[in-house]
Amino acid sequence: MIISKEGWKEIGFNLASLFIAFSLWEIFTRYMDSPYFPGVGRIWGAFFLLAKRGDVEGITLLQHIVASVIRILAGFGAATVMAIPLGLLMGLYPNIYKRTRAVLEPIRFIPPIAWIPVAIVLLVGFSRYAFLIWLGAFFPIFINTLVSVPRVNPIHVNVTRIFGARRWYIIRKIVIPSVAPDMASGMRIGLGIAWMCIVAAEMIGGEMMGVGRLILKYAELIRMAEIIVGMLLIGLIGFLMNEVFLRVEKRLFRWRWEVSLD
Amino acid sequence: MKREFWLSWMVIFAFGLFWIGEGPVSQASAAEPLHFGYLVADQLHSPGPMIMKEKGFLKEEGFEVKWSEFLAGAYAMQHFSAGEVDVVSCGAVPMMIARGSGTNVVMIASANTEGSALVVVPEVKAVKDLQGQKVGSPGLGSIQDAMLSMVERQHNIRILHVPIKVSDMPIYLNKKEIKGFISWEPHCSRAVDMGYGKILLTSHDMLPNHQCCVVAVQGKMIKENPAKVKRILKAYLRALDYANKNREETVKLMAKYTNLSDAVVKAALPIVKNPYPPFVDKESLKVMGQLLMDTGKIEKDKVPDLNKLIAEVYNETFLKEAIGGK
Repeated sequence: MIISKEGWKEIGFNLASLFIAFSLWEIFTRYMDSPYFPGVGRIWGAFFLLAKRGDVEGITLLQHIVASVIRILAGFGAATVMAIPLGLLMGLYPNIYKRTRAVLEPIRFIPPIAWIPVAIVLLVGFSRYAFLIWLGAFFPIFINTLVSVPRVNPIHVNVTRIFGARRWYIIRKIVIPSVAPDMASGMRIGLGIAWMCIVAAEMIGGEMMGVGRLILKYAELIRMAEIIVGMLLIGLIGFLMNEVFLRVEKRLFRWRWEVSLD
Repeated sequence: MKREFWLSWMVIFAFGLFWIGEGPVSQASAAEPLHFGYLVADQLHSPGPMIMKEKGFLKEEGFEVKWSEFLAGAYAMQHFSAGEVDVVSCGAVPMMIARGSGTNVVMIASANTEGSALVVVPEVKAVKDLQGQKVGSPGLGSIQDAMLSMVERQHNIRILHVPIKVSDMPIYLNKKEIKGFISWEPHCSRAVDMGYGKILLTSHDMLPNHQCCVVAVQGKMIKENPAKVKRILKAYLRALDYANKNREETVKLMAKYTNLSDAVVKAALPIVKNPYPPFVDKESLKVMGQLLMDTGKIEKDKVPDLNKLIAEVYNETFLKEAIGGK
């Protein structure tokens, strides 16, 4: 991959931003002079020890990360598989949505954390985490798909109709490709929310591993450096997943300039 | 682009300043404000706050009290460390952990000794059966988690400590997701009463007369306003005295606060001990402190001397003075 001059400039500014952020954090911690505001050095030290020796129960950072990523992928995957067909169906047949929105819409506003007691009683083990992440990721994907269907260019649909295309052909060749960028945007938003849900999901307990669990463990021990390591890890993994998603999106939908954040 | 870059940072900086500038708004009141934290359904261990609340003993000492409930000692200590809570009633272990992390917390009196139990599914016949099994714990920072580590050492086995909210533990046990759990009363007796499990060990079996819950204040308060500490302790001792003299009423209040039947409360109470005068058991603090250091919950490089930590975290002079003055 060749990086353009503009690309190098962007990288340079981002590195400068990181440097400024760390410097401000360091100045802030020195000004506060409190055990609850560890400096950059202490956070780095905590990261190094967690990666090398593991946490107080001997669980390594990698084990925590793998546990969380698997939960995220399961919940997010289930959300994608269910939200896209349902969004398409309701977008194509708006009456279904209109006649069921009294059920669907209120559920959208119930935060995943409110489902925790229900998840504890009705579900077991891994499915609890996947369910809560699914709840967070489902609606952005569903809504984005649903609202994008009516926006499909009617000229495209009418032209294919004139040439005798059947409904299923129009859906496959016109509707789905037209709404695909919106679906992808919904998935990207859903992925972000899935990461936001991981700490809430891992708050349930019943498991020893997960980045959210790592944060909660050290919150109990009031050890801020390790808590910040967990927080930064969530941010970093989420950022990397988002970057991969953006690259794939750009490649798949090259024809649609709106995909770019530039 | 450069201008945009610096503009972005100016906005971030301004936002940061605004955030730092956000502070608690002081309220003018005739009575002295006091924020008291205690644990959910912990009235069997620590009846003092409940009686003080019901009978208004702190109010009589001139305090306007804000009461806050916390799920476990670790969460109470997080709020205490932030300076939000002035007085707290919870386990000695989360307090020692917090002290080890730099929180200026000072215990002034005991609430109870013992009072926890290991509840297991009926198939578990002996502690050895828990080898490699999942056992629920209120969390790493709890006294019960430390006791579970003690059981592992005593029986030379490895148990998987699974963090679960105490009120959810019977559900996990019933669904066989865990082989047992360790918790404070009345959650153990509640699980037994529901028919989900049996008590395998009480905390008396693990470490006799171990210190459990204590009452602590901000170290700053001791230094800057010892008279305030004396007034709090006076109300607390009065509450303990009241609880001892009015046992039936206290049991009824415990049942009301924990939302359990009188029968469950009465079944759980023999496991809990509330010695009077409420001096903290320093020997068990040492045993638990050593365990916390060995398991890495207190960092050895931050706390090189355990005896010094205990001397700092427990101040019995106020209690001695109060008892002597009676």
